[in-house]
Amino acid sequence: MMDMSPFHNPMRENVYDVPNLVRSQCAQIERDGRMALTVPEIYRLRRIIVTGCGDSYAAGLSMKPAMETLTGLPVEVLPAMHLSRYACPDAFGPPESTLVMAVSNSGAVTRVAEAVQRASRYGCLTLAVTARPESALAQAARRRIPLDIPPFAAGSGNGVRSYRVSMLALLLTAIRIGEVKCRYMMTDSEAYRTAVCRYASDFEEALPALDRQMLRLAQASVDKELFDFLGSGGSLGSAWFSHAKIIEVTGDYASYNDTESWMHLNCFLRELPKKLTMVYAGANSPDRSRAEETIGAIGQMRGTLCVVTDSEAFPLPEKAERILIPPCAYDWLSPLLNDLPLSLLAGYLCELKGESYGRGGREDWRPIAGTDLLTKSKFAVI
Amino acid sequence: MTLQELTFETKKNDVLSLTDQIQRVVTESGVTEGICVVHSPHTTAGITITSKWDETDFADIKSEMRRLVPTRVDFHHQFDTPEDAAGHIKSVLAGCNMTLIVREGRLLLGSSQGVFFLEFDGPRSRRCQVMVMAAQ
Repeated sequence: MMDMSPFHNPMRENVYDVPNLVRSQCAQIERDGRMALTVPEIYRLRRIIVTGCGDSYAAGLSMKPAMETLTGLPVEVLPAMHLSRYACPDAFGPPESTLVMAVSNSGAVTRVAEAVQRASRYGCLTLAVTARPESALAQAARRRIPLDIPPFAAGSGNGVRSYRVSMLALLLTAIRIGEVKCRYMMTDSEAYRTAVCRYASDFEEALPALDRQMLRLAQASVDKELFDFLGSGGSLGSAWFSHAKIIEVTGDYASYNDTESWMHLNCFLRELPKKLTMVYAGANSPDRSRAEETIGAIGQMRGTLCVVTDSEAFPLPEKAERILIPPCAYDWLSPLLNDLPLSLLAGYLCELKGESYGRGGREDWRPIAGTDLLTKSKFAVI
Repeated sequence: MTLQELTFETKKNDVLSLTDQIQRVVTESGVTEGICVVHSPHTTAGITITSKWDETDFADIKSEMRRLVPTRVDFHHQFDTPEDAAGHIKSVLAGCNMTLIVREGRLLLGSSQGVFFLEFDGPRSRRCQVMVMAAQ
């Protein structure tokens, strides 16, 4: 058995805490957020907008298919900047018909609070997903889903845990909306929540093997300088989050795209030997045929190819490394956890490359150290 | 005294005959003269007696129940769903238990009467308790 201890790092510790966090937060958010919206409010909704910055935006991307499936409503995921400064007033829809869910664990990000204040001004029902009731976001929104993420002693996981809780809050709200609209029975809602916890437990069992595989992959990839992530549907959010972790944790260049758009753009990147491509490819994903075509093309190019899949039977080119994750009951649930191997990989790459998270906020990165540029930005509601 | 539990699966807004199952419990109890109590431990279901001959009666019962208690969004009970809130009220109207007379080992029912379980939710796994007591 490989001795992993010399390579332990905070990202890894955070990943190992995720299954338990998901199980406990699922029960807590369901209990605390169940009555965030009244039944008449839910019946007036015609669409949902999810907004946020950084990982919170990715949480929206990851849960968009789940939310649409469960609520039967169109779900748009918009950057906070668009909603706060650019969205046309007509785009907010008739009063009370649009639910704006704004995600920010701290609630202190100026742009998100700004977006919510503007959405409220144009008659949207606004719901803050945040831990802080006194925050600018919570104050700007009409309703709040209270988050209470337990502190973690092992150090920063670069959002590995808070991203999970943000996704859970979106997912559980969607389950509740679908339930109230009688799209399915209350027993079905319970089955969905049980599936979330079962998926977390299955991942918990799979983590040690994935951990060893990611350490080996990191050791073989320490010279990589470009990381390209592909995923469609909710896994586009996983690809977004993955590219963000590489940038934050190792400082390397990273990109993301869906399996269709990759063929139109990212396929033209050069320096292939320095590139690692990771594809999220679910066996039952609606994009499967396109994912197979894309993976086949990448398999003929130089560079390292990894495929995160829930199936041992998913056809892969000879050179591809299969990263086998547990299957889950619903394809839309997969993005809740399918990025965890990448977070392990990023943590190991950081150690092996001798990097500091966020470049340590030193030297050239001193101006962006801390959170002032996020929380003390000029507040303007247009 | 005998207590037995009946278990069964329902469909959405089902009307399900329990007469034969209750009679079987009475027969197995050996009680010839006494009382049979049927209880539904659910808040979105009820127990009733109605005609057993024509199933279109069931459609009338279901539609009239819906007319009396439509599924609305403004019930005070919001913790669950509007359908659940409506189901609670229908359950109150129908009642959750019933007392039947046992005579000569048979349920004393009129020739047209049957005992029915009314599902105001579903599909669900449901149960009913049946107690049979002999007369002194």
